[in-house]
Amino acid sequence: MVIVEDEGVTVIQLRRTLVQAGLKVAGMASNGQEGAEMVLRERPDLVLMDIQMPVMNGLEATRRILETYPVCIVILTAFSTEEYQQQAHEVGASGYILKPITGALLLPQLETAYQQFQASPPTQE
Amino acid sequence: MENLDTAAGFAAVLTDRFEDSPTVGCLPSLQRLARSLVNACTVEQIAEALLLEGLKALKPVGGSVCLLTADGAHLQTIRSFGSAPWAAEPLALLSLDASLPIAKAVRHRQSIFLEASEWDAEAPAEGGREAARAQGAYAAVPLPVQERIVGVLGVSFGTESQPGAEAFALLETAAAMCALAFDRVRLDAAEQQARQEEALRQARLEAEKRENDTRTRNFFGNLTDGMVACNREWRIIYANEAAATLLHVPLESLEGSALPELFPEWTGSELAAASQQVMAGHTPLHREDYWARHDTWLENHLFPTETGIAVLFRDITARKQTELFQKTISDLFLQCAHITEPDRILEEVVPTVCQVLGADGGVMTEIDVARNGSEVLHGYTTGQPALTGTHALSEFITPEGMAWYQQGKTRAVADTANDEQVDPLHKTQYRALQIGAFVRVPFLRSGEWVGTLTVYMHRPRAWRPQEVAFIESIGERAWLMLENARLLQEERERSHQLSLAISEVHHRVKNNLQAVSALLEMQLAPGSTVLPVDALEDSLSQIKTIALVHDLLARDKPIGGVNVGMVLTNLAELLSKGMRVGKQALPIRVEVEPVWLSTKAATSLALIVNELLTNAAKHNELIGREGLNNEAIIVRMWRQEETVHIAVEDSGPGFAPDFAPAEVAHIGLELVLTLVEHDLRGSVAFSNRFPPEDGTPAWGGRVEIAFAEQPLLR
Repeated sequence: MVIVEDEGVTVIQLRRTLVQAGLKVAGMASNGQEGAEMVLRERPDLVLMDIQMPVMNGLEATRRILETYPVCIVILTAFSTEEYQQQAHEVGASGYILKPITGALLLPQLETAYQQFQASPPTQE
Repeated sequence: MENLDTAAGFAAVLTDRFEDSPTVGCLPSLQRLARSLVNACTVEQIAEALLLEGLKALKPVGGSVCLLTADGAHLQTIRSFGSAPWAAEPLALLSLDASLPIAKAVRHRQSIFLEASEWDAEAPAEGGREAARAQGAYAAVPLPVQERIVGVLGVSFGTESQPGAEAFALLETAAAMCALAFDRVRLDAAEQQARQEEALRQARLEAEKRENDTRTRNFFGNLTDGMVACNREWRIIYANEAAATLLHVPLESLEGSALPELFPEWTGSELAAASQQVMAGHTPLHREDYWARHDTWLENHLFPTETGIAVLFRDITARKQTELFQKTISDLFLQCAHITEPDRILEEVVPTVCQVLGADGGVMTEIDVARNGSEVLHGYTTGQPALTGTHALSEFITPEGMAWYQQGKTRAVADTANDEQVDPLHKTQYRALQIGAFVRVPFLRSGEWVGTLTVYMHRPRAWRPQEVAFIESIGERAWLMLENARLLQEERERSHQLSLAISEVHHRVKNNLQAVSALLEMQLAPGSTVLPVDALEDSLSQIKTIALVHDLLARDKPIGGVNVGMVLTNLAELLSKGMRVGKQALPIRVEVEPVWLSTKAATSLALIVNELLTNAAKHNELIGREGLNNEAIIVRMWRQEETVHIAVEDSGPGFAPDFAPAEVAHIGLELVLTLVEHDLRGSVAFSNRFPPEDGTPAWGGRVEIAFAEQPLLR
């Protein structure tokens, strides 16, 4: 599992939630570019990706990761507009979760996204 | 046709007609008569010649020559001699109705010959004329010319004479010759009279024409419009003073000159074609023509005349220029209506003004009178490089000039080298810049002179009033558009900043709600559903800390940035009030520099310092050392090169030498370490304020955070 998120408080929350759920957090990145490099290096099964981050945004990072490595990437963002959800779908994200989020709500959505990914890995449009 | 006009012609006629006359014996007499008739110029001379020469051979005793009067009702005696019955008195009139033989001969158009014995029967006595009766034979012979009878010849013979047929033939021949001569003389007289009358008529017409001409010249001479009349060979036969002025040619040089020679450009022009059309078609034409030689527009009214053409014209340059200028202004500002960039407005306006006026250059300048400065906003020139950069106003303008422009008045200088208002120093400047003439229009804002449009020529130029008005009009509108565009640009920038700020705030709100949610969730123990009071207080403090940043975000500038120094000051004040030592608020000393960070970084930093201060306060209460309360807790922030340092110092027990923060399972510490590393990409150092002394261990915790300022700048 890799968390790509520029808000430290959210990183702590996500890390705690995921670890408590028995998942291994292989790394945490604070921008899209670091996140893409970390994912391609660590090759995790699941990626939680914010959209608005410095250096490179999450949608671009997702596109770059999926160019070479098919992985379940779930977008976790405060952007609630259709436009962003459409873009996330187009770049191949497996799920789209809106902030604010609690651990109790996060885990089932992650599980659903991961199962869908395994059933039919995404292809970029 | 017989030629009776000349003596030779008349002689020829006489010879032709009478050479076969039966009066061969009298030929010498007739020849003499002919010579006399040829030389006779009056009816009297003819009558004289007839009576003396023509009848000489017949030896008559009397005779008379009478001519029909103009009314054809009387016979008038021209000449008589001897015994000439009824016609002895010159100019005596005899009615044609009379019964006398001469009257009868005329009436019957034939000669009458009477023997003396026949006289009584043929010519009965008439009252008062008895004494004049002939004594012997008598002959009355009409004077025939072609079909007409012009008079009659009466001849009396003596009682001894017995004229025969030859004598009568001679009489008729002489009468016919005289009739021709009479006709000729009368014809001459009529002709002369007709000629005299014609001459008089011509003289009268000439006088009338001269009078009309004078009246016409006076009329056209007083016109303010030009008037030129040409004959069919395009030679000017009349021109008035106004024409001379409008055509820039002396009046004396106009009249008599050929139009194409005086104005070679006329040949082949549209005006020439129109003139030819008017002259040929006899229909007037009205048109407007541009005359490049004098940069002039003329309104021409072309009228056909009997002798050629007349042109009435006036100078309409001012009207045409005004029309052109109005159209230029209208088109230009229609074109500029959609332009919002100030530079592009100037790129359109300045060259257009210069091109329409045929000026060599133009400059739109921003003026700062207080600083004696002028900055060229846009320069245009047809040749040498355009004016650019900034200049001192005094380089070109005297104090009097500045006062003039500050009143919003335009200055038009026709010749910079010779204008009294241009001082010698500035003349040198203008000469160096090849500015021979200029128009400068000032623009005012709130009564202050702030801008100028200058249009210039390399050579002197007499600016027309409408040209100056055009520059003023277009300049003032352009300046207004320029200022509007600038305001719009500023407004757009502000709007863009505001949009960014709104977007930033919106995103921060949602992220902060996420952060609050996360912070609350972190306080919950795994599996627990109840939040302890201490944990709740910590969460409330964190939420207030986030709110502090928001409070400053709304008020501080630049948009989207936050003064962290202010955040820390306010945070310390907030915490100090909530944390008490005994009955007094816990004093927290704050020593910070203003440092501007992004909202996100400022929020992370505020949460870090909140955690450190809360922790310090808790430990301070535990120790409660006397004497240190005024500076029990200190927050410092300073810059060192490009690194921001923040230190929080307390009066607690400090950190043990083997303190390993990563191994301490504490939410607050985890928060500090993660936010410093993850959000600020900085480092944390833990140490003690006071060294060990007299067996007492080091004490007073000190946490120092350092991070690079650059990446966090907005």
